[in-house]
Amino acid sequence: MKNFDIYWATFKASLQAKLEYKLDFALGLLTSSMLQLAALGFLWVIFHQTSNLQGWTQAEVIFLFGLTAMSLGASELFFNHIWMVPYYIVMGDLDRLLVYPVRSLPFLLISRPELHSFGNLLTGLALTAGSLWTLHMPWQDWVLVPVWVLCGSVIYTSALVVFCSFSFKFVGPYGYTLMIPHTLLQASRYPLSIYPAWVHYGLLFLVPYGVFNYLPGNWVFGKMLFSAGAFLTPLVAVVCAAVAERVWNWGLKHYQSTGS
Amino acid sequence: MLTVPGGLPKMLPLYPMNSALQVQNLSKSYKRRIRQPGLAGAVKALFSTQEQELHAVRDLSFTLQRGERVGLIGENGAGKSTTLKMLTGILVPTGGKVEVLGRVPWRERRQLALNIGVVFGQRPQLLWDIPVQETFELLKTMYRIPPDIYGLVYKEAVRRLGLEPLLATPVRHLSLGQRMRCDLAAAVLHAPAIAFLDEPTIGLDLSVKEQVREFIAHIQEKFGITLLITTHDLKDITETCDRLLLLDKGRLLFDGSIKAFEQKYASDRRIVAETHRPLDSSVAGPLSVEVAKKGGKLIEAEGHRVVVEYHEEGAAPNLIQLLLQQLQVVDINLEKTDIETIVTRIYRQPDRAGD
Repeated sequence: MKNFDIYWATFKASLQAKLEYKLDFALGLLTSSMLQLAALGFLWVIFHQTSNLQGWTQAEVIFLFGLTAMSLGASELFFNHIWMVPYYIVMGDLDRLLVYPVRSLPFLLISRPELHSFGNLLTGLALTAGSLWTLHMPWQDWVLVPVWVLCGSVIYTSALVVFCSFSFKFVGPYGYTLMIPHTLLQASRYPLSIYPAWVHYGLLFLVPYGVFNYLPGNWVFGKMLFSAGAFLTPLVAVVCAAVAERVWNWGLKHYQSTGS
Repeated sequence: MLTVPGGLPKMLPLYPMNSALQVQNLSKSYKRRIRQPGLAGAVKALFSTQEQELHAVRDLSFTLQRGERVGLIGENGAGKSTTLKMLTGILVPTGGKVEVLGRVPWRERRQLALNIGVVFGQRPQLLWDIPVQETFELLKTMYRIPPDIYGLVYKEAVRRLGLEPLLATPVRHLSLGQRMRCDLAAAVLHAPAIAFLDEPTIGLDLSVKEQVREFIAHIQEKFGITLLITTHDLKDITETCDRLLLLDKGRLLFDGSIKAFEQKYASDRRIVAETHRPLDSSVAGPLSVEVAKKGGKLIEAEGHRVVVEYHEEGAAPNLIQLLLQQLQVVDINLEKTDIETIVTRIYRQPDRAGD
């Protein structure tokens, strides 16, 4: 991206600022890890009842959990500012983001990292690594994990952006519209084949979360043979990002600032 | 001294005309749902499609020449901020045409942003919890400010706005006055061709206000910046601007030099004299005739007080001479309505622009 250095400098400065709140950092790390572990406990209960979920073993599902947690963590680390937008709209604070000579969406996203992201990133890493290790997976699978995580964070963030932009025009400035894509992400941690077809395919084609956890899981564990798959995820991520920025700019046109 | 008219170093391809900004029939209206008061009203509004149109700016036209210094005034809700937001590309107008440095703001917001500086006095602009110094460095990267320009403006800002002790402080620890000074410095670091300052002295104490005005005037002169300031403090305008735009209910009520403004709305200059003895009622008649001959008008002649109003410049000496000859004057005062009184008077007129 042109002007990448600007966004990178913005990110570094913002991260440095966040790191000043040490207690906030520690607590955030703790709570996000706890949330991931609680979900894992639920998974453990499920696998106490049954030995596999639609052909997926516990270790394999944990791989999906790990990828999803890391994607969420990466989104929180790099693109968390989107969560502030509904609040900015109410307060009319979006204005100040629009006076800089940079693209408003990437600049907004990058300028407020969230530190509890590290909890999700670390837990996710532990889960993914644990899964790949116990299942003795080849090194190629390990190498692809960061690619999937990065693409995952882009795809998830794009979904947040799209829902947020629609709320400019149709819903009004209410924060809960962002909970829809967030809740969908929680659902996409399980093998999509356990869901009814419309959810299954919805999460592959409409809100394509399956592209960065379910499909990679299928390729890694040989459930689906698709060697070009490694390239599919980045392609989807790029398309999602482009669509998200389009929708965002469309939404901005309908932005009504406050009176002052 | 380095003088760069209109922030030339990274100027856009030279705009054919000399105007920095052109506004034609600009208007902005909002749609608001009609809502009755109370909870019941709020619930009803959920299902209602009735909308009300609010006109924030209507049919606004004006042009700014390069390097002009213009103040935009008007009551709360007159449409000042909305206008500024449309000129900077934040809001999309409902109608009309705008060209700023030859660009349509809301279509080419980013390219335009490189060449303009913006301060919104009512809200902090420096985005980060990071120290002021680093914010400046970030802006330097963001605007690709040439080192010589950056060095120059930075030095001036630090010196004239007294930023030295603030540089290492994170923005969130700054007081309002400190923050505003930093905001202002940040907005002009790249020596913009146009600066839009929305209430740059709001909530500041008198000495800081003075500092801010001096800095604005100085940096404007040095770089030939086109200046558009909105404010409620008319001193900001009398000290930094030459031209005045008066907005009223979204309409332009006056556009011209400050002098023309005073002449139009403050034609009444007065001479107030106090006499030694109470005036005899027979004096008023003949005096009024004499005063009229010298270009004045006798407004009051009662008790110890005589008030003469005149419009033409230069009539004062003759009128004073007349009063001194005819009456036993113990004290004499020249009164000129100041700009604040004029503006207040305009605001109070009930049906000025009309709806």
